[in-house]
Amino acid sequence: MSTCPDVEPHLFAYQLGACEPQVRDDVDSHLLVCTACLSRFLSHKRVIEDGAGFEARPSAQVHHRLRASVLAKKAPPPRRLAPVWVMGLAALFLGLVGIGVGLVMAAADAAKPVSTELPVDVTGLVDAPTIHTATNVL
Amino acid sequence: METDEALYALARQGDANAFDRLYARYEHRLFGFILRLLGARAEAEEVFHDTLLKVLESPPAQFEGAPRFSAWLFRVARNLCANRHRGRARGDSALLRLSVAEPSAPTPEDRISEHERATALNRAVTKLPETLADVFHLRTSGLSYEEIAAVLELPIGTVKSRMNSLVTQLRGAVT
Repeated sequence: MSTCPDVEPHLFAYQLGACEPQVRDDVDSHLLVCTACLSRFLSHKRVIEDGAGFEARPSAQVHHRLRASVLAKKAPPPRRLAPVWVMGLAALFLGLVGIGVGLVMAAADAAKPVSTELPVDVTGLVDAPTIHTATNVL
Repeated sequence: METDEALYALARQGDANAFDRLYARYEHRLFGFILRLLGARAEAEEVFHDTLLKVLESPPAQFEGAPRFSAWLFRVARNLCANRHRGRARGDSALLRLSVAEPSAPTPEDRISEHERATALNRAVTKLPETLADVFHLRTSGLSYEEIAAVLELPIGTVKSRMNSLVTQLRGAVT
């Protein structure tokens, strides 16, 4: 069992977590049974923690400003593009459709009969005799 | 519980909840550390803000050689404090201007004793050489030896050695 004079020199190291494991265990055991050393240890602890500014915190505005900058990082979700293979297929399809349309139009042009008639002068037909149909006869 | 590194990665992508949790973890420790280095609250708030902003805007997950996020964060803070300190006399240490917290001991005798001890301890800390003061501030901010070594860019053996010297000096100051 360690005595007060044994433990007291180690209280600071104990507080700062700088003890060897054996010493730490000795201090642990001693503090459980010695009110005076425990009180001294707590006093050290309070002094160090007060000095460390553990109760200090920045103002809420600091948090708000930082939070706003984090939110600003949030980019809108990227537009989802179709996979490459889908885009390739679509391009192929459009290409084939284009070729098909071209072939159909070419075929239609080829099938159209070529007129061999000469142009007819119809000016002479203006004064032609009236053709009597069944309707105007009646 | 999510690691600091995981929360940091999410916060960088704009996750405000992750940022809030990370902020809550470091609000007291980091601000206390900066406040003790600088002394003036307004200046400490600026550096605290700049530290987190710099970390959030740095290239992702590099940590500049630090093993963990916490070590990197404190290193950035320390460097920014050093920039502010440049040109100041070291004797103008923050702790001299920090008021000693009112002790909450139950009896007047205890209060006087604790106040005297606090004064002695603060005085001892202000007189620490910079090498030991760094270790003291980082250790009392909750960093491990490994993290302190990363912040100060020292071998861990050097940190342990400085810690021993620190303990000896502080013990001598209050006994």
